[in-house]
Amino acid sequence: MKKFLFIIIAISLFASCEKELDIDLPQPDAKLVVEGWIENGEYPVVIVTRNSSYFAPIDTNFLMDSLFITDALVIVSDGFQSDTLQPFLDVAAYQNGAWPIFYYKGSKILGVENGNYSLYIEAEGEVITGEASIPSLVAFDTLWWEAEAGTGDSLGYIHAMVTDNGSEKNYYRIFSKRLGRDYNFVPVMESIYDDIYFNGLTFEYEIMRGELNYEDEEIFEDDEFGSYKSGDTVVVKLSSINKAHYDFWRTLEEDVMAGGNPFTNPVTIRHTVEGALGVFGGYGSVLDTVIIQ
Amino acid sequence: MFHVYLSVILAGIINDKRTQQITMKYILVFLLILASLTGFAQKFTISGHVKDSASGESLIGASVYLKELMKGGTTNTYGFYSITADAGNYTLVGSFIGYKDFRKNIALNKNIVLDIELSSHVITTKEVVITGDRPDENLQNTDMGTFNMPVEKIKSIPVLFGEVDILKTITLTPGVQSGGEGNSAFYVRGGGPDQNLVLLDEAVVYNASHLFGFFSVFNADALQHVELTKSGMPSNYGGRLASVLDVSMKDGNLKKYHVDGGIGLISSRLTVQGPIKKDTSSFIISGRRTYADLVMKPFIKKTSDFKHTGYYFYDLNAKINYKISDKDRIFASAYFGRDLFNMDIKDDDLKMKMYWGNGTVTARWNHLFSQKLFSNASFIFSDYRFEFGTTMDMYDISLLSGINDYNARLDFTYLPASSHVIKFGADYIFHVFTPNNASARSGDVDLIVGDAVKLYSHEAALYLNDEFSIGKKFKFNIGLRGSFFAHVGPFDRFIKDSITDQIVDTIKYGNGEMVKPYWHLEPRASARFILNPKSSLKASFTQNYQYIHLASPTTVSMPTDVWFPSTELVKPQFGTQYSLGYYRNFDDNLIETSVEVYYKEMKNQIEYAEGALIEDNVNNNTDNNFVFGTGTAYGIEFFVNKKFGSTTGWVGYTLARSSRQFDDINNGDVFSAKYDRRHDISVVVTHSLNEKLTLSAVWVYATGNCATMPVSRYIIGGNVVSEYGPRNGFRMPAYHRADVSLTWYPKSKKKTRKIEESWNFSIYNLYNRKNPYFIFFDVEGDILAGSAAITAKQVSIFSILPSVTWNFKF
Repeated sequence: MKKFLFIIIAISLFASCEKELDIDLPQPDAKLVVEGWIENGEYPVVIVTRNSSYFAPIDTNFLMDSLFITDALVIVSDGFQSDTLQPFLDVAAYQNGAWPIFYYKGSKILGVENGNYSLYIEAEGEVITGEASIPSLVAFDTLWWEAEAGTGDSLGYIHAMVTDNGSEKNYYRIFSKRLGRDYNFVPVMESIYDDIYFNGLTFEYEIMRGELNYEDEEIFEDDEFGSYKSGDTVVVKLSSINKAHYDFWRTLEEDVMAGGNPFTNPVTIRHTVEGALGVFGGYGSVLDTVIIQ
Repeated sequence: MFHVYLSVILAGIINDKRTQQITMKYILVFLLILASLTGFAQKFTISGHVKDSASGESLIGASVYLKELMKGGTTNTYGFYSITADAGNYTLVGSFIGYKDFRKNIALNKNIVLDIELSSHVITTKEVVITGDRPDENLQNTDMGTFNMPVEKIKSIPVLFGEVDILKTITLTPGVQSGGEGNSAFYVRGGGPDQNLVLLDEAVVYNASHLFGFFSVFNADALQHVELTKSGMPSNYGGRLASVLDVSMKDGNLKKYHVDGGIGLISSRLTVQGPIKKDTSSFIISGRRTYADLVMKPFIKKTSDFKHTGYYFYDLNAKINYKISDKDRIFASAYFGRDLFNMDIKDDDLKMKMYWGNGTVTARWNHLFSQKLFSNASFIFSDYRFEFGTTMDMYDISLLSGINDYNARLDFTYLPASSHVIKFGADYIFHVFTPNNASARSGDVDLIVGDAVKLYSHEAALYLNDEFSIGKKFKFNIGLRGSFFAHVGPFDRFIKDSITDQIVDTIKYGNGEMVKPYWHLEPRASARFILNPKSSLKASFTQNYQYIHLASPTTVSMPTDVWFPSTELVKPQFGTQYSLGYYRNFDDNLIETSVEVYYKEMKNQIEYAEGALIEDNVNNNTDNNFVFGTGTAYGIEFFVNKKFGSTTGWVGYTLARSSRQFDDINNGDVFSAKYDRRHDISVVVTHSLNEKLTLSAVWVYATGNCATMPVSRYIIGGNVVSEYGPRNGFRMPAYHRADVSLTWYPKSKKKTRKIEESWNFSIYNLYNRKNPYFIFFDVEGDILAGSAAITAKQVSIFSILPSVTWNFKF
């Protein structure tokens, strides 16, 4: 957050001029990207994509034809049995502007609390492996919605009270889904937490609604940006994750926010898979619903 | 010759009574050595202080010599000179740039104390200055890589917004770079921003910049002398690898009261000085404040959230001095400056306040033990602090970092004979570091951010230096510095398990308990060989240790950069520099030219580990976040300088390279340093059109800064993620810019008018070059709808900026 503020300071103080620059970047090495997870009570989901040169356009051709790898062999095992994940094109997700659009989904292994899982992928002549574990579940003590001043009681944030277990190291990721409005769970703003600041404490924090991505500047103009509206029913998910999984999302979020600003050194993302970029991680999730009147 | 006869006689005596005279022999040998050094009864000393005749200010670096012998030296920081020579009749000459030469016939048949008063000479439009021999100090001295300039000269060079700035001016000399607009540091010969020792009246200034580097903390009205040493650092300085920027404040006019000031577009300043007791004691007080935020407001969109943003800075300098007697003088000086930034975005319920600044206090006592032994004792306190606080909804975060120094030093200068200048002394500093103290609250709950950590250390040094000549062609400056550093408790060292990140052990050190000591010897040597009256050759070799460091988690130097000491994990930085130069003057010393080459090796360089978060200080030692490596820098600097006449100025060109190698960064491959700059050109010209108008222009060109660019992109969670290429593998477009300024000195027809005034009109960035401040990648459109594109954009800060300043003096 501090980094954000510095960008704001610099730009706000001075008449800044922006101009487009023609940069020639060399053609990159082709690499595979994995985004996989397994959640308690759910089948594993793995997305396999390709990287691309930096300025290549992101159009429907790109999304449909070159981004996703459709013929990979994806297997998840829990030490007892193996599940070969099947490819699936989620047309409804595409129509709703949701993610993921194309992925591999399991049908045999359901995630369990404290379970350990391994991933094996064969794609484009490469072998990719990874490990994940689902930590113990942690639930919110209470969850409620509070209207923000000046919005006529129609917009507000969801507040959560959490008691962290002082005797163990916990990492969390928080998602929310508005029934009938969000196709999938969307990570909230600043979704990743390390209990280092509140180990063993009971404290309250504000959950601000996140967007899937922040590139479209129009979303900032929307009144509902960051807030939950009265009349919505919101399911909030508190997922416990392990350190490797936490490090990946923390460094990833930094990279996405950074975008080459001068106030940070380029981020090194802590990938958790071998043989590709990306992650395979476990979520120990607890759901809770808030009905906003 | 007397002592030669004496030694022959004594030798004869010794041989006859061998055994009984053995101890006597040693005493006599000792006396003979002393005799040859002290000029046994045949040499006399003339010494005193060189001052400005109008104000009584001591002149630093003035030349004083006996014309017939061409022997003498330059005045020290207190204007003191001392020359010892054989008895005889001589012409004593005192000279200093901007002043008429002083000449006096003296009969050196006894020790003489003579204070020299120099009067400034009026600028003429003629090419030849009618003041006798022009000094060829640049050929004569052993100083290499030194740049000094009287502050009055700096005042005619235009900089941003018509503000005179000594830091910006020194970046116009070869080998010194600024990091570009918005970057608060300067870099000397490929060294880092923490490797420059910046002193104001002997007190260390930790962050010499305001406003993210657009202005320095030095108010030129309060200053007398600025000297930058890039190589051949003499042994009385230490603690930094790359350079010393020694800035001296004016003492205060000893004869009359004066008020000077100026009102400019974004800042105003006022200086008051005068005698407390004429010719004995004086004071000077100087202040400056900016109102940059008010000027910037028109540029901020009315609909912007940032309309309640405020920023300003101020500087305050004060000094008093008292001449107790001809042998004793005391000084007390102080500096205090602050930058304050606050922001209040009501819509988002976000309040932010940030401030930083330095405070220094110096008390000094000059004591003359004799005409040949000058001493100075100083007691200094220096404070730098940075504080940041923000309130956003129910979150309250504050961050504090800083450093305090308690410093005492004793310096002696011994001038036994006119061919030796011996300096020796001791320096001791007690440092208290506050690297990163944070506190955070969420609603009513105080979050755990670790206890306030303070790090304590002792730094000390002893030095000895001798500058001496051999014959007429060789001059040497040889010195040795012994330095010591210790990190002491109270301190907790946390031992963590690398897998679970839990603390498995804590080693506790008590108050003053030794945690880790370091001690090192630093040899320094430089030499000058006169080839002919117009040219000389110089060489230098220095080794330096640096015990305190600045870690910058950002690619641009910011006030959030943290100073921290050497510890068990962080070893002292070690630098070795070799330098060679050829100096040639033309046209009877009208034009000075030089070519210098240098090669530097820096060990134990520090960077933040890739992916480290500075917030990771909770129950963790800051130094766990660092990685270490080496640096190499080399280059060649060309300099042509015309100091006299109606047109003066210089051209400097540097061709250089600075690189780093860290096992933990960039896969261990060598990468360019952040501030590696292949070409750096500066042209400065000042021309007096007539008595009332002076025109000045500056043009700079520099290879663009390095940046790390992405090589590919991929998508995770529906977001574009960058995969980065080699560290600093990309060059931004080149930086170049021209500035001009016109100073008008209207002279009133009425002689009774006491106020002297001048108007300065300046234009910064004359041809409106959009120099890139940073490059970022803009992802526009909707990724998931398949209608997005990424473009590279550059942001620049300053377009063409005209400004006006009114200066006055009475």
